[in-house]
Amino acid sequence: MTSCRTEPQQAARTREAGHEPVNEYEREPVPEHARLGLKNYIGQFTGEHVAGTELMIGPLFLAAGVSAFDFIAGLLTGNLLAVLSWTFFTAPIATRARLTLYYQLEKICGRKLVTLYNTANGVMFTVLAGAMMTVSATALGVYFKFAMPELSDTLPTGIGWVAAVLATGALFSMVAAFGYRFVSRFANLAAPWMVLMFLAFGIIGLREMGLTRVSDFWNTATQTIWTGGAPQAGKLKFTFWHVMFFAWFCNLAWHIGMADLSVLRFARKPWYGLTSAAGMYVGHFMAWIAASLLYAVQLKQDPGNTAVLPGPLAYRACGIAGLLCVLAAGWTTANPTLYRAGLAFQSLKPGSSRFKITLIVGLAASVTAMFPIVTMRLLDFVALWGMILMPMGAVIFIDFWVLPRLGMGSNFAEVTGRSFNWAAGLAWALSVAACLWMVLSGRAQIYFVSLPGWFLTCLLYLALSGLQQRRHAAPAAKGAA
Amino acid sequence: MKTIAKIISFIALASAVALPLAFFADRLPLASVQSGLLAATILWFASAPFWMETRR
Repeated sequence: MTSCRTEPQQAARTREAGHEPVNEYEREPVPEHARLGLKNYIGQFTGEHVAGTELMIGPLFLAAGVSAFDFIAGLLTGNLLAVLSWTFFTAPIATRARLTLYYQLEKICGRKLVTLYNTANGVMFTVLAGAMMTVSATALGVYFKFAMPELSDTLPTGIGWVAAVLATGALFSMVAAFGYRFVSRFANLAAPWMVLMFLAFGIIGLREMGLTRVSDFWNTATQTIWTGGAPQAGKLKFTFWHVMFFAWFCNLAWHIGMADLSVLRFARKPWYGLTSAAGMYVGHFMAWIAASLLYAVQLKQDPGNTAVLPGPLAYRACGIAGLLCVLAAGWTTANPTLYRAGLAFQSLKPGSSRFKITLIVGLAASVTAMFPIVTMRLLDFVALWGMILMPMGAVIFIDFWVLPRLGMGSNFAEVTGRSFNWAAGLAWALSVAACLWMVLSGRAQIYFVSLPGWFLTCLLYLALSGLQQRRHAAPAAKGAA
Repeated sequence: MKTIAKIISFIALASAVALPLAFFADRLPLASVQSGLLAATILWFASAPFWMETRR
């Protein structure tokens, strides 16, 4: 996963942190002189995709009974598809329009629909921040020895757990409300160390699993680590396709969903989208494999202990440094996530106190963090997030590339001065409803449903735009006559 | 000062890789690796702020 971005975070962050006013080009294309080079993107993608949630996601693959081939081949393929999505979906639009997602959406959908999108984004950010609090709270459990949740737990496991989560949540929320700048700098400082700590988890995990020679890796991987057996109780069995689609769609909202327009609009060249490979293959390949290995070691030492708890997992491998890594990974990613959730909700009522909103969001995230169901089903939550936000990416894609080629107008809301483009709104709502129906009725699993959902949104937006623009043109033509 | 800090940071990061590799090669027990990783962590956070640009 990632610590992600929402709107209009960049400029607000700069203002609220008390920096010199810096033009973030929120409502204009990024000019030539403000564009960024390749190195910036490699660093940014790598830093953002080694997050606290990687420590949860890796073990959950193993809990789903994945085999070595399905896991590694699935990750290689899925991450490649994610990189290609950034390169061929997001970057070409970002480097042509050079607008933030927010502004691009506002031009197409209108202010009110964008507000609705931000609300959905804010809710998702809040839940994700809760998952990161959970990750960090498990580090406290190593020392305070309170009962921590099992893989199948859905409710808080006791007063110790609740107290640890609330303490973590209160600390994270206060820091997010007060000191975004400090933690953002700390996150950048910690990034190289954190990447190497994940590598250390992997190397130690491999040795603990009995690997003594690199040449024996595949044998150990297939026979001892990812054996492809039955999944843990209550978990779905994962195949190559599950892993591939999860790796591809885990950041669906960012690439195909176009949230990274805001980031890649600064790129000098569209092919800088390829730098997402640094984040994918370090964070969503190496880190997931390493975290998965830690869980394999736990199952080897105590097959009855199926709990996925990053704190104990990391402590067993790397001692106190491992615990610090869990705390830092959770903290540095929960902080911007809370901050961005606050910004998303603040956009509903411009002028309201971001400080207060961030604290309220932090409280809500802490409450969700108490319930382990969210974290223990993180794979489902991430897939759900992508499914809900992806349709807006499809709307932008069609509006930017297809409508002008069919003789229709782009940026309908801006051209007509409307605050709600019902064609986009309806395409979004119908697509999400159809995807949910497919999942709830058992016709498709949540990991796969976003692909047909994308095509459905495209078709719906095309058809509804045709209808809308014809209806809009008719009175205009009548008036002109 | 910056150069010394950079060297210390580099040693810290190199240790974070070398120590687990030493464990993998059966050259170091896990307890020593864990202590070494903690030392590397402290060294990194003590030295990197002197030279690393963290404002993005």
